[in-house]
Amino acid sequence: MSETSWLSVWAGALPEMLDGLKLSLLITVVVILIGMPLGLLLSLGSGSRLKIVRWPCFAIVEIGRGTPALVTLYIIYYGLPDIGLTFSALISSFIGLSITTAAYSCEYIRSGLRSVPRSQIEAGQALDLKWSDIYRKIVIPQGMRIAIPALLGYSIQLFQMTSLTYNITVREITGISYSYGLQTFQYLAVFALAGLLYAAVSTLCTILVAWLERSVALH
Amino acid sequence: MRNLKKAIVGSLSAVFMMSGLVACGSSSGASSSSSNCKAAHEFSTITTGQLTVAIPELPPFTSYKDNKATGIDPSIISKIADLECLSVSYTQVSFAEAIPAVQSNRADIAIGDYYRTKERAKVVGMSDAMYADQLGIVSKDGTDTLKSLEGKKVGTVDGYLWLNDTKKIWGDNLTIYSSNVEMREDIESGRIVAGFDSYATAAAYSKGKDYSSKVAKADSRVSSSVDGVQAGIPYTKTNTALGDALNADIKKLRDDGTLAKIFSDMGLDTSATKITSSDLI
Repeated sequence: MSETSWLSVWAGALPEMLDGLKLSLLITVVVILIGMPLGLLLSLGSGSRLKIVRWPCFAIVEIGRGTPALVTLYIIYYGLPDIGLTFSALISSFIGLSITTAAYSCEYIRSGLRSVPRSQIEAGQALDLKWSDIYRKIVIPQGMRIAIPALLGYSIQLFQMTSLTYNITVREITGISYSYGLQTFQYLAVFALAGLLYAAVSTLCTILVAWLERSVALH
Repeated sequence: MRNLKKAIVGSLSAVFMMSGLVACGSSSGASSSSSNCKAAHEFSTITTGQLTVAIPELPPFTSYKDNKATGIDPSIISKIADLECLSVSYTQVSFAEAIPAVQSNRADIAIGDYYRTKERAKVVGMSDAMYADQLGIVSKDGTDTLKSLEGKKVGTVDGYLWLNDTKKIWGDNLTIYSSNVEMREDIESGRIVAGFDSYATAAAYSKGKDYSSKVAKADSRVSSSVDGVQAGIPYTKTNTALGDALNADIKKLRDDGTLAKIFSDMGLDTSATKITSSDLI
């Protein structure tokens, strides 16, 4: 039995862990803002009729999905300096997780775009609209509405994935928990608090996602 | 019939997997006691006649390769085991796993240059000091003052006693690493100009590199650079008899010159074994 109560450990660790939480949320938001638009571009590119566009997009998606996020982070943070590209830990985390996010969101968006009935595209063609207009005004708006629930679900996973950035020295929740655990040896209490913080944010986001799903649902 | 085959194959696979998992956490006895040996003290261990030791990787203090433990701490433990007529069984762990292993009775003790602090002594028993450690500065230009590094990008390995003091001075310019492997990468790539680590550890990994380890000159803002730090043996808190035995054995090994000999045999300064204070930090 420890002489130190969990509550006193939590009181000591919480202020710094909240700073870590802010950083985790910042990484999540930035990666969503970079990765998901990239995913949209990749999904459009991988559907292109031009091989020169289609194949590179296909390759990026397969590499992004096939490589574990942690390995991608290691390559960017520890590997790239060997060829003269040195990024800070935070920038490396933005780049690494954006690559993974772009690859996964590309698949969600692509399946959303494919769900748009063929008749909608044919109607656009009948109105003599350009392909770019058909996609911009008909396919993307409808396809994205279908893809949004999956993308929001992935966003919650992404928030939890930010814990991987501890391995490249980002001081987010997991990094701060580990550090506090090393100093005090109160690993169980500290990581329980970290788990609660992750769970609290994830649960809030899940409720928000459910509400958004209802809001964007097709009637 | 086919289902019976499947069941047998499945069961055998499960048994093999389980034995494999057990083997992953298995360990090797480094020494064994003879039958006519008389233990210096009486205390219980997890396995009778055996001291189970959690060992992370931290040369020159601890290293475990090819089922063999080497380094300062295993040398000391080997002597203690001889005094107590015990064989030693090592379990290789990461630093994060070592203390939970001691807390949960999976290991009697942990070794690996564990600093003796009041905070840690609330959770595990902490023996008297085996030796003193020093704050080392690892850099390419061989600096030995903390002041010369102010305003520059520096790093430290997590868990060291100087972490909070250095964080106050360097703030966002201080990168905190989970191990010295990552810190060395960043020193080599130039991401940081210097790193803070245990002097002895850094001296060991700096050999033959284009960076070196220097003992940091005393700086009043970083208390561990002034007072130094002491390493002890964390043990299961409830096993007070083991703690008493460890303290008595460490004292004996210091008094008869064994600790100093271990250090000199490894080419290290024997002054680290001279301990003037027994207070926890």
